[in-house]
Amino acid sequence: MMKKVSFELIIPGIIVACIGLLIAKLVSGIYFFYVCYAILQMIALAAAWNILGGYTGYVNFGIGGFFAAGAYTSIVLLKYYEVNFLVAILAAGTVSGILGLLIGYLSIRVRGIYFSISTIAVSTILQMVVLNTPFLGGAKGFKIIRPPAFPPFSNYIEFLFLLILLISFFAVAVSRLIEKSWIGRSFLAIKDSEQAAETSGVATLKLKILATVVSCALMGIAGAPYPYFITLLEPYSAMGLTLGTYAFAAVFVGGRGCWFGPIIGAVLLGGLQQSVTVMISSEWNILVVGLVIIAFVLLAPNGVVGLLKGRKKPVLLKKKDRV
Amino acid sequence: MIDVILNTIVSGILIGGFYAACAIGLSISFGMLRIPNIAHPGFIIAGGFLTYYFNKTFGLDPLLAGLLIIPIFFAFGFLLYRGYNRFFESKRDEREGQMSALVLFFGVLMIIEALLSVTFGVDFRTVTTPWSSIVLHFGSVGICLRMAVPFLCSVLMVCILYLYFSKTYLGLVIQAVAQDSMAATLIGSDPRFAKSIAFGISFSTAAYAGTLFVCLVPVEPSLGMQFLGRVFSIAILGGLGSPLGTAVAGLIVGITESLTTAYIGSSWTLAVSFILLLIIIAVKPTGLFRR
Amino acid sequence: MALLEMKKISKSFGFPALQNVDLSIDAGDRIGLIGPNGSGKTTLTNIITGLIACDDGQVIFENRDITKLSAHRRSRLGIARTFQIPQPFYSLIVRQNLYIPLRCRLKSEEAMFTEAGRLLDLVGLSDKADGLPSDLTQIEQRELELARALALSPRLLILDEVLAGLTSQEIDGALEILRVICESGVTVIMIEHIMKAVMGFCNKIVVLNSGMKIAEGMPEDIFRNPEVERAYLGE
Ligand SMILES: Nc1ncnc2c1ncn2[C@@H]1O[C@H](COP(=O)(O)OP(=O)(O)O)[C@@H](O)[C@H]1O
Ligand SMILES: [Mg+2]
Repeated sequence: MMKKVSFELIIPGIIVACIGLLIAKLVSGIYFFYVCYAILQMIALAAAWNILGGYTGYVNFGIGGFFAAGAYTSIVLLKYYEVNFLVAILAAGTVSGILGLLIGYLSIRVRGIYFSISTIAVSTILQMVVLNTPFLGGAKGFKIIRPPAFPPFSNYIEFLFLLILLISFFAVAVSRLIEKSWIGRSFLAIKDSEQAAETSGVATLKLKILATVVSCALMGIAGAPYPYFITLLEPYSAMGLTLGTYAFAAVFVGGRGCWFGPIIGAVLLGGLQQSVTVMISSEWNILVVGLVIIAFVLLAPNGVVGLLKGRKKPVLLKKKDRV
Repeated sequence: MIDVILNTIVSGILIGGFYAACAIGLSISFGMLRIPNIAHPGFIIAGGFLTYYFNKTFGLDPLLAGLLIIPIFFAFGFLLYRGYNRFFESKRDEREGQMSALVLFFGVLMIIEALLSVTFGVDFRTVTTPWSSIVLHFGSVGICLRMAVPFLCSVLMVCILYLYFSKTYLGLVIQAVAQDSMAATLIGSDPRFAKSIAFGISFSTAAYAGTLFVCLVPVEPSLGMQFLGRVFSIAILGGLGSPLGTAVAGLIVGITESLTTAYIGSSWTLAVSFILLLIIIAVKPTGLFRR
Repeated sequence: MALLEMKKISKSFGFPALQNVDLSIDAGDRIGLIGPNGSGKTTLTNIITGLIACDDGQVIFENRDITKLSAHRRSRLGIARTFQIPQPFYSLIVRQNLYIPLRCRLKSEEAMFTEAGRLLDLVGLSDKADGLPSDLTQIEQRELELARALALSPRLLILDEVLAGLTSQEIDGALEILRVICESGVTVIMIEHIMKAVMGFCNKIVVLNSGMKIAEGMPEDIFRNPEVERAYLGE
C-alpha cells in the first residue's frame, strides 16, 4: 500500500510540481495564470465531487458551501493567527471534512433527491452563518492583500497557480487511487444497489461516510488558496451555487465515475466559460452552462469519456479484467 | 407586546398561505408523480415576470393576467411530461432516471434564472394595483390587502386542488396512477395522460403562485434558488401529494419565519426553512401528514 | 443443533406483514418456503439477511444472536441471498460483480479472478464474464445473482424465486446446480411457486399465509394438509 501511494502520489506529485515551476518561469502573462487557476480549481472541485457523486451516486449540490468552508478556515487562520500556508490548507481540509461527516450521516438516513436537497440546505445554512458572523467578515467579507512575491516566483499569482496545480493533482490522484482499488468498486456497487452491496458484505454505511468525508475535505482544500486568488472573499460569490455548479457540470461533461472525466470536463467547460465571459456576459455564461448540463444529461449521460469509449462499455474497466 | 406577536403571527399566516401555493405544485410533481422538479421555484419566478410583463404592457390587472398565463404553463407542463416520460421513466432503474432528471432540472433552473436576467435585468420588479396599499384594521391587527389578496387566492387554489383530487374522476385517476401505474391501466385509463394532466396542473400552480408573488413583494430572477429550500421543506413537511397537508405546512413555515424575522433578525429568515428541512429529513422524511 | 433459528418474529408495515413466525433450520436442510404472493416470504428473507429490522423476535445463527447485526456482517458470517428482482451492479462487468462479495474472503486480485471464473462456470455464465449485466437476459441475471450469493461461500443460501419463468428443462438444469451446491455443505431456503421444483428438491416445507406460519413438515404431508389447500385455493 505504501509503495502504491508513493508511486501514485509522491513521485508524480514532484514531477507535476517541477512542470508547474517550469511553466511559471517560462510564461510571463498574468492573465494566463488567472485562467489556469480557474480551470485547475474546477478540476479539483470536480474530482472531489466525483468521489461522492460519480462513484456512489449521491449528488451533492452544496459544493459551494464546502469549498467556502475551506476558504474561510484558511483566511481566518492566515489572517488572525498568521499560520503557515500548509497548516491552513490542512485545517481547511479538516473543517470541510467534518462538515462532510455531517452530510455522511444524512446519507445514512436519506438518499436520492432528499440527500441532494439536504446538501443545498447545509450549504445555505453555512452561508447564513457567515453572513451573520462579523468575525467571518459578514456580508462585506474579507479584503485580502496578497503578500509580495517571493523567489522563485516573479508574481504571487504564480505561487497560487503552483499551489492549485498541486491541489488539483492531489484530488485527481486520490480519486484515481480510489477508483483503482476495491473501495472504488464498492462505491460503484453502492450506487447500483445498496441492498445488494450490503448483502454482498459491503459495509455501506462506513464507505458512504468515507466517500462524503474525502470528497468534502478535498473541496475544502481546493478552497484554501481561494481568498488570495479572489482577494475579496464574500459569502455571495464564494458560497453561491455558481461556483459549485460549474464543478459538477464539468463532471457531467467529462464523464462520471471516471478519474479523468473531471479533467476533460473542466478544461472544456473552463475554456467555454472564459470565451463566453470575455465575449458576452456572465448571465449568458450561466445560460450556456445550464444548456450544456441539459444537453449532456439527455444526449451523453456518460459525458465525453462515455462518447469516446462507446455507450455500452463500463467506465471502470481494468486491463487485467478485460483479458 | 401582545399586539406585536399577534401582528407577527397574522402576517406569518398570510405569507404561509402564499408559501403553500408555491409548494403545492411541487407536492404534486414530486409527491404524486415522483418527478424531482427542482426547477419549480424557477417557474414560479418566471410566472411572476410574465405577470409583470402583461401588467406593464397591457395594463392588465395582475390577478387576471395570471389567469391568462395559466394555459401557457399548463400546456408546457403537459408536453414536458411527455418528454420526461420518454427520457427518464423508461430507464431500467427508477433511481438512476430520477437522479439524471434531478440534474437536468437543476440545469433548467439555471437557464430560467439566466434567461430572466438577460430579458428583464437583475432589478427587483413588482406590480402595483389600486388595492395594493389598502390596510384593513381589526382591533390592533392591521391587514394589508397586498398580503391578504394573495393569501385568499392561495386558499382558493388549495381548495380547488383538494376538491379536484378527491372529488373529480380525473383527479381520482391521477391519485390512483400515483399509487400504482399498473392498477390504473386495469381500470382502463392511460397513466401517461393522467400524469401529463397532473404535471400540467403542477405548472399552472407555479404560474399563479408567481402572479401572487409579484403582487406580494418585488421579484428578482435569483429568488428561485432561495425559494428552493422553502418549497421543498413545505412539500415534504406536508406529506408530499396532500393539498391540505401542504397548506398546513405552509402556515407552519410562514409563522416560524415571521417570528424569526421579528425576534431573531431578518438575516436568519432564509435559514428557517432550510433548518426545518434538515430536521424533517433527518427525523421523518415522510412528512407530518401522510396521504 | 439448528443452523438458523427464528423466534417469534413480527414485522408490521402499518399492517402485520409477519406475526410470531418461528422457524428452525438444521445444517444441511433444503427448506422450501411457500405461500401466496404477499404472504411475507421476501420480508422474512429481508429479516434473516438483516436488510430490515424486525419489530419483535430473535434471529439466531449458529448459536449467536444476530438480531441486531447489520446486513453486511451477517453476509460475512455466511448468510447469502438472491433478490427476487435481480439487482446486479450495473456499473461493473459480470466478473467484477463477484469481486464485491469475494473480497470478504479473498485478498489478492488473482485469487478473486480464479474464484470468479469457477463460480461463473458453475452457473454457466463464463462466456459473459467480461460483459455488462445490462446485456444479460432476465434468466442470466438470475444466474448472476446466484453466483454472487455463492461467492460469499455461504453457510445458508436463500433463493428468492430464482426459478420463476424458467422452462421445465431449465428448471431441471438449475436444480442440478443447486444439488451440487447443497452437497458442498450449504443449507438452502428456497422460495418458490413451482411446486414440482419444491417437491423434488426440498426435504422440508414451510408455508406462510398473510404473515403467519400455517404449516411445516415433509413435502408429502404438506400437500395433504387441508389448511394449506385452503390458503392456496381459497375457501
Ligand atoms: N418495505 C415495505 N414497506 C411496506 N410494505 C411492504 C414492504 N415490503 C413488503 N411490504 C408488504 O408486505 C407484504 C408481504 O410482502 P412480501 O414479503 O414481499 O411477500 P411475498 O414475497 O411473500 O410475495 C406485501 O403486502 C407487501 O406489499
Ligand atoms: Mg416475494
